[in-house]
Amino acid sequence: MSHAFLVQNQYYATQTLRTGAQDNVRVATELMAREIRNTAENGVIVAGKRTLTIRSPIVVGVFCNRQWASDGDGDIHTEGGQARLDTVEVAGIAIRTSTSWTYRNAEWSYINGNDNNSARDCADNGADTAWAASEFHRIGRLNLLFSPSPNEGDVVMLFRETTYKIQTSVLDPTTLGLFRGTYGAALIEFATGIDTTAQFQYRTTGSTYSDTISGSGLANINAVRLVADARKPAPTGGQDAITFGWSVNVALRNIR
Amino acid sequence: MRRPPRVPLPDERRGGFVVIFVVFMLFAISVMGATGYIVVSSEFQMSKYDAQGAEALTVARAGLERFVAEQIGVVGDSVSYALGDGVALVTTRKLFAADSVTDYYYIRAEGTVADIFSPNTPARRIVGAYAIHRKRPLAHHAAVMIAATRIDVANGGQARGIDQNSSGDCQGGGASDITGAIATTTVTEASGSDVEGSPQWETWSGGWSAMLDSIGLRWDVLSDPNFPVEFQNTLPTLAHSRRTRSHSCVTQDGCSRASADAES
Repeated sequence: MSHAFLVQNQYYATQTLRTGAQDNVRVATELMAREIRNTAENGVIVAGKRTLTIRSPIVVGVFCNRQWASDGDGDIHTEGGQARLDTVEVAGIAIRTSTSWTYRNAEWSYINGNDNNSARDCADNGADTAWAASEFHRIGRLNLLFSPSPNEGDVVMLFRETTYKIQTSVLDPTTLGLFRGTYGAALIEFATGIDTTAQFQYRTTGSTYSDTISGSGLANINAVRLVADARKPAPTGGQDAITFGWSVNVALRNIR
Repeated sequence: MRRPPRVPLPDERRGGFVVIFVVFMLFAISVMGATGYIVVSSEFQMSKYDAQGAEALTVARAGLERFVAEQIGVVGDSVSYALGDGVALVTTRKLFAADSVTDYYYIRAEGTVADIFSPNTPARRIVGAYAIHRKRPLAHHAAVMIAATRIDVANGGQARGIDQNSSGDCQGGGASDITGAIATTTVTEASGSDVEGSPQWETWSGGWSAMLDSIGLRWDVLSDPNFPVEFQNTLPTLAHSRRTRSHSCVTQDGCSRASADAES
């Protein structure tokens, strides 16, 4: 009878560890995949074996009013307005030309225009602001970021810049962890218990994945693979560590 | 008299150990089975919800594409489409009037797919796109313009190419006078009738096709059954679809997409 209890205990301990190992990497990769999939055109900045930095859109908007030609202030409409905007994550603003995006890094506090007349000014230019006045917002200093500064009707994108890094876990230094950091912020560990085989891989042409892509090839990356094998130490009385092989291929949406 | 056979007593040393052990094992197996069922059931539910979310996103995108493709004339405020197992609600908001014939719009499409077991919390996905609506107003040459040979304005009839409103009455009011009446050979003004304009009337000898061309009506598009339409009964290639998402794609009615999708 005591043996039955021990077997039951061993079984549950193993299952718990296995579930934990799977959940660690599955949740981590799902979160990553969701963010990586939205990588903007020419949005891969660093593509290394253990480091990945991407730009992804937070929101896209349109200039509906240019306040003064000289100082680059203007009003934009975005879905949900500033209330739906995670301003802490804003890493910059991009202007859409006829062929590509032009990116400029700037924190929200730098480009935030803080003006209450955006909806009125856009309405003067024909905008329907009924029940949506809060979706219009002023941004400024664009003349310092772009030359020439954008015009009415130009499409703009507020983007985030996110770095993912695989390095020694803070929570469990015997394993690796997956870290995430936004523009100008410290890296935060959001998955631990990752095996030493973990790495990023990148596809540029065909079906071949490479560990590292140099600067000239970043624009050609059309898919990212995250290899995140999980590892948990053996349970009490167990022989081998619990491992779980896991990798995810993420095709980028805005590839050309 | 024979004595009844003696009923054997339970062995006190065993104490019903086997029964207890079997009951315990049955309990343990039941717990393991229930655990396995919960794990499988959870995985199934997650898979189902994930599929419904993906379908809601597809419904939202399809609704947006359909709205843009079917758009002609005045842009409506909202429209809903039943697509597959879901519903796409498409709403528009005018953002900017670049000039009198060019407006910028934000088009928002919300796709929902309801689960029969949780109809009040459907899977919901929203996509949006910015679009340029290029209006193609017909040229106004006259108050009355026909391709027949003659116009006879009878007693009591009026044909006036004069704007009765000022610019203060409405946008575009106070426009310049146009011709009162145009026909191919003759315009007559009977006694008691009134034909006014600048000029009062004209005769155009080019026939109906020349008249249609002059007002900018794309009769060739409207009347040609073989007018080429992209992707009719065929799906576009993925590469082309991605290109059009960020570059301009001019549809038949002159509505062009201008920006990338914003997805939440």
